[in-house]
This record gives sequence, structure tokens and C-alpha cells, in this order.
Amino acid sequence: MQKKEKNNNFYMAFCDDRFKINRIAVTFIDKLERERNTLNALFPMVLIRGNNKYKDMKEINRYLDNMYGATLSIDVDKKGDLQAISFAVSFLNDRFAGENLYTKALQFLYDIIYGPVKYGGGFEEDAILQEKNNLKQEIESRINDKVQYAIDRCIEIMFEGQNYALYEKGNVDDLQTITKEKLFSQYQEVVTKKPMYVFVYGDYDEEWAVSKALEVFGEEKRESIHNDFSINIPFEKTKYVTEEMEVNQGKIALGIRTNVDVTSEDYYKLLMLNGILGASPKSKLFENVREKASLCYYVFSRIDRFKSVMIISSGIEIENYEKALNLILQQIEDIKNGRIDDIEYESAINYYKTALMAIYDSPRDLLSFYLNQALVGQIIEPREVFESLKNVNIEDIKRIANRFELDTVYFLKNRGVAKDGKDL
Amino acid sequence: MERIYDDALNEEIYINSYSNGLKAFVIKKKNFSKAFAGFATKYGSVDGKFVHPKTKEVVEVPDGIAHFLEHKLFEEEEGNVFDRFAKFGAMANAFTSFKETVYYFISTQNFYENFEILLDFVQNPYFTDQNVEKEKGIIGQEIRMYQDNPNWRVYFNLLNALYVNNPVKIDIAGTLESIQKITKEDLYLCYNTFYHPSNMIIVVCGDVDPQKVFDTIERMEKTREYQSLIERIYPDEPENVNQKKIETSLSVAMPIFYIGFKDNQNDLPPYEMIMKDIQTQIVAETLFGKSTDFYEMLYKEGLINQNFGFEYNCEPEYSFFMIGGESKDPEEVYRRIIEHVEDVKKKGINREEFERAKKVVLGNHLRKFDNPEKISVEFIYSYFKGVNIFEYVKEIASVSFEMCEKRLREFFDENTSCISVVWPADKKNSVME
Repeated sequence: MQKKEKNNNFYMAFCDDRFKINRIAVTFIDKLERERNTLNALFPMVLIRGNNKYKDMKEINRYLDNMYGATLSIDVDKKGDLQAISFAVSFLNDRFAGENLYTKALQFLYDIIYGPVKYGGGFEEDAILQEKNNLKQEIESRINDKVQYAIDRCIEIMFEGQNYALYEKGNVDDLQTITKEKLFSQYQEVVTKKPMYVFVYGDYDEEWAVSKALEVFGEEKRESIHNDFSINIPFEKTKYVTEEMEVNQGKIALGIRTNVDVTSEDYYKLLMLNGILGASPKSKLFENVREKASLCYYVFSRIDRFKSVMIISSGIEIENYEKALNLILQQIEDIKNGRIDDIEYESAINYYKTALMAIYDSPRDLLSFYLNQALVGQIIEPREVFESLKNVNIEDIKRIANRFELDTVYFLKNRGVAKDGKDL
Repeated sequence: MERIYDDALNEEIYINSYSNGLKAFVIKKKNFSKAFAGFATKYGSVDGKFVHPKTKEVVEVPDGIAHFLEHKLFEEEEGNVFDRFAKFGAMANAFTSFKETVYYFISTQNFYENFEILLDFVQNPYFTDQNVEKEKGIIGQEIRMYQDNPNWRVYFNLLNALYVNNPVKIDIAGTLESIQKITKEDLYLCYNTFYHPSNMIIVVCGDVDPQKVFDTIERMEKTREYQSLIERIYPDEPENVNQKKIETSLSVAMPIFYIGFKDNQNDLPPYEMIMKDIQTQIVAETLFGKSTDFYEMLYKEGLINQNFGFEYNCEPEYSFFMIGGESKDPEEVYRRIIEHVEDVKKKGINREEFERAKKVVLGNHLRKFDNPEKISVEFIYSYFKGVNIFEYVKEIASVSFEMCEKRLREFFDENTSCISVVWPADKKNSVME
């Protein structure tokens, strides 16, 4: 691994010859705030519509196709109270292409991101209008995926009024108020002033790869932005919310305050707890809610790397709401009381070992793993994370579970069924 | 043991055959942390009717049984097989598709211990009345989950519109009603028929020792009597589509659609099937790829968005091309696609677009080799239809402009096309205006 860091510009390169496809990813970080999150989601969509160098989307796509079907992707993500705006190009290894594509790909990515600033011209009105419409549809399409929708709603309710409740792709009402000028100035500010992470995976010399990337993207001074990992609102009592939609299956989502500082050593204890509760193949939730009680097809728990929050999610028969909820909560109680079998512990530790080591085999996963590490401010390798997990014992897990507070129980059910979620 | 090294691809593969008809493959991936191992049987949702290899009687089983069997195989007398995998740290799972069922694990440690568990549990069914009943609850929830999934619905509706009789139109998991009929006797019958080594393959991909893999199989393989080829009964399928249009509504924000083209040129020898497959992919790129004028025009008119895409499914018993995504006006997109195809048929394919399309198709195929799961699954799919995934990359270069022009004229035809739409539940009227 080769690393270079200056003025809040971060460069990292990972190189070997195992893959046929290389990858360059450039990420900008901004605070996740209502004034900017919709603008930040929109400008990348406008950037890939063309600029003075590549006049339209067709020219961009032709350039990519000629690079043996290289792909350009944009992504907006929520990382705690931050918003990550990413651009990535994946392209064929020189060995198979018969030519050097790395410097071409770097320059291409640079031209996509900085085209409107460097080559003048700003954004086209038509492109903005259309991408506004596309983004509106994308935001509205959140209801298409009911599993994720229920999780998102649970977080929104849990963090009402807080930045963390905001959707990473913005909000339909704010879209209407976006003008050409506002969008351009926000875009310019992000790509020239906000922290930048340029990460590379390829079949090259690492030092050379970093120096080439640096030549193109530079290291001008940028702001530093700090993440807030805490929840910041006092816990009062559990909120029970039921909503209705045209669905065949009910979706339950539990939002739990873990009260763990995710930048501390306790994070690894929380991870192990998560493995035992609902992430590993022999997890308590899978075993007891699915296998033994036959209540669901899927049930899992998940931790946000950037917030002290655990989400539990499952799809159930609507009339089984209370039964499923009680059984889920029972699994947490069991952990609080230290009722953890060897097989559950073993399964969790092995699950993480496989998951963490598998990161090395995917350039995409590795780059996003290191970006997350950098944003938490602790750059350690996947295998080092595993070393920390190995030291966690049952007492640690029990202690962490006893800090849990059930913040929100969200239930999505079909229309016209009388049974409501209620205090239990 | 046979070894094939492909210099152009920089990939090597080891092959071993066993006396009971089983075949095993090791795709070597040097310096990879994880290894994939898959135990696959050529048995999927389309195999609901067949001739019993011993009694020679025609058997017809309830829909969704291959998938049900996949779920049940994880069950053991002392619990389930995850207990054993958990000890050695593998992530095990399985999936059922139209034509195959694959049991697999991914591990980054204890590969051979995990491999033995895989070989063991797939060869040891344990079904009881009670555990079969229990599974109906779980699978019932799986079916319900898919009913709420608009992409799944629009896809199966399309297959229902394309096909009159072919069982590819049947939902892989069956229905809430059909799974109720499944008994442990049905499961044993299907298991004993389709889980015979002569109908199965093993594919391993990772930094493993091929000889050791093959020896483990030799040692673990339960010797069984010879079984003749299984005769599967597929109904005759007319050339026309079942219906031109199929619609439903769900909670979605925007209409979701697929347009399908039914391919009636099936049952080809393997080489011809590969060529047909590649030619169709190239033609589709030149017609609808992201760098075409056509794509740019539809996008600029707001008729399609970034989710627009297409794929071609090529099998000996059925082949179809599908294209779709989200649109405020799916019927207009359908009209434009047909119009565009006719236009290109008249004018001919643009040579420059053809060259570019070839590069894209090559890149897409090479991409798959970076992912052990993907390459293994592709390998299994290809193997069962009688072709080798490694051949694809070589053959792409040999596809000529003339072949593609011919393919365009022969295949893309309005008469064998249809459309499937999922409309937003609350907005159907306003969208259709």
C-alpha cells in the first residue's frame, strides 16, 4: 500500500497483478446538511451529462466503450453526519487492452469532475432540468425496495430533526428551489475546497500510481471536516410507528441505540455482538426467528460504521407482528444475560474472518473499506480488524448489550388491516 | 487430471472425471484470499415433468419443488449443516435457477474441511414430515417477499407474456398453493433422480491445490449404480408470444417495464449457440448501447433514465432478449424500439458502432473473471448447456460484421416481441394520460 496525505488530499494505491479490471475512485466529503445534500446529489448527475471537453453523454460513453467497455459510476452516500460524493472508473488491465489505460483513465476522470470549471461553460440548463427530474424519480423510487425503505423510515423516525435522518440523495421539495447558479457554486466549492480521497487499485507500481494521480489531481489546500459519531439526542422512551402501503408482506425494523463509541475499542465488541445476534449464519435471530419459529425468510442485524446505531430488519406475516417482535427482543435479552453458545460465538468470529479477508479479493470493496477507515480516522487493514475481534470475550459482549436502548420499532403493513403496533 | 492454460486469458483450469459420471473443475486463482466451491446439479424449476429413470413412468411434481429441495438439503438429523460450516468459518448458501441448483460456500480458511462438509451434506438428504412442514412457513415468506419486489414481478410477467407453455414462465419458488402440496416422498423422488453424480458437477475457484481437491472428491464420493440420462419433458412451444402486453400495479414510484423478444432458433450445437449468443450481444450494443444515438435521444427526451439496460438469455430450450428499466411512458419506449430496429434493418449497422460494441462485449466478459463466485457460476451455467465459458473470449474476435447484420435481420422482430409493465398502484391514471 502506498499512501500520501497533504492539505486534506488523500492518495492511496494498492497494486498487484491479480485482476483484469483496475479501478480509480475519487471521493469528496461534505457535511450532511439540509442546505446542501440535494445539491450534492444532483451535481454529479449533471457532470456526467457532458462538458466542454466531452460535449454530451454520448461522447462520454463512446470514450468509455473505446476503452474496452470501461465504466464510469457516480455515487452519493451517507457516512454518519457526512455525505460522500464519489466518482469511479473501472477499466481493463493494460495486459489485456494492449495499451496503457491508467493515465488515460485518470485524465478522463479529472475531465469529468473538473470539466465545467477548467474548460468553462458551466452547466447546461436542459441537463439540470432533466437530471432534477431523474433525481426526483430516484428519491421517490425508494418505496420500490420495501426492505431498505422500512430501514430508512426507522432511521428517519429515530433521528427526527437531526442531520443523520436526511436521505443521502436529498429531498424532493428542495429540488424545486435549485437554480443553475446555486448548483454550480455548490459544485465548485465541493470539488475545490472539500476533502478529497483519490484511491487506486491496479496492476502498476504503487509509487508510480500515486505520483501519476497526484500530477493530475494535485494537492491544493482543502478544508478539514470532522465527523460526529454520537447520537446527540437524549433517549426518552421507545417509539412505535406503524405505516401502511400496498404490500403482501409486513416489514419490521428496530432502531437500537447501542451507546458505544464507534471510534473506540468497544466498536469491535459491538461488531462481535452483531455477529452473534444477527449477522452470522448461526446467529440467534436466524436460528430462532427463522429456523425454529419459521416466522420469516430473512432477518438480520446491522451496525452503521459511523453511528452508534444497530438496525434489525425482517419480513413477516402481518398478523405475526407481536410474536416476531417479542422473539427478536428475546434474543437481545439472552445476550444481555450472557446466554451465548460456543457455536454462536465461533460462527460470528468465523463469519467476520471470511468477510474481512474476502475484502482483499475485490478492488471495489478494498477501496471502500479504506475510505471508511480514513473517515473514522484509523487506517488499519482488514486482517488487523480481525485481530481485534479475536480478543473480544462473552463478558465484553454482555456488557455492551446491557447498554442497548430500544429507540424505535417501525412496522410497514398492508392497507386496511386493523391490528396496530403498540407499546409492549 | 487434465490441465488447460489459456494464455490470452491468463487463466488455468484443471479437470477431473470420475467413474460414476461426476466431473470436477478447479479454476486456479493465485494469491486470492477466498475460495469458492460449488456442488451443482442440472436440475431447476423447469424440470417439473420427467421420465423416472427406473420405472420409466412419466412423473409430474408440484411447482417450486427444486427450490424446496434446495432449502431442505441443509437440514440434518442433528440440526442443520450451518452448525458444521460455522466451526470452519465458511459462508455457505445455495440457489435455484431455471435449470440448475447450486450449493456453495466461500471461505478464507480451512478450505478442505469446508469442502468435505459440502460434499457430505449434498449427498445426504434428511427429510421428515415435520421438517418439510416447517419449511413451508419460511418459503411462504420468501414467496411473499418476491411478490412485493417490482423487478421480480415485471420479469416473471414478461416470461408469462413471452411463453405459452415453456416452464421457464413458472416462478422458481412456486406459489403459496403449490408448495403446500409438496411431501417428503416427492422430495426424495426428485433427489434420487436429479442428484446423481452423472447429472452433477463440482467447481472450485481459488488458490487451492487441484490434486488435493480431486482426491477429496474421490474419497468422499458415494459410489452409486449407473444411471441413464434423465429424460426431461418439455411441452411444445409455439413461435408466437403468449400475449403482447401484460400489466400489473404495485407500490412503485414510476412505471417499470421490460420488453421481450422471443428467440425461436433454439436447440443449436454448442459452437453455434456461443456464436449466436455473442452476435446477439454485439447487435444489442449497436442498437441500444449507452453510446448510441438512440440511447442519447430517448434519454434526452426523458423516456429512459440510467436504469435502462438489456440482457440476452441463451439456452438450448428457450432464448429471449429483454430490455427495459423505468419510464414515464413504457408504451412509447416500446414503439420507439420497434421503429428503431426496423430503421437499422433498412440502413444497416454502423461499422464504427460494431467495432466499439465488440470491445464492450469483450470487456464485459473479461470482467467476470475477477470474481471467483461469478466466474464459477457462469462456468456452471455454461457447462450445463454444453459450452465452455473460456471459449467465449476467444470467439468474440471471430465474429464478423456480416454475421451481426444477419443476426439483426433474423432475430429482432416485432411479431415475436411483447411488453410487461408494473404501474404505480396509486398513480396508474395520471401516468397513462
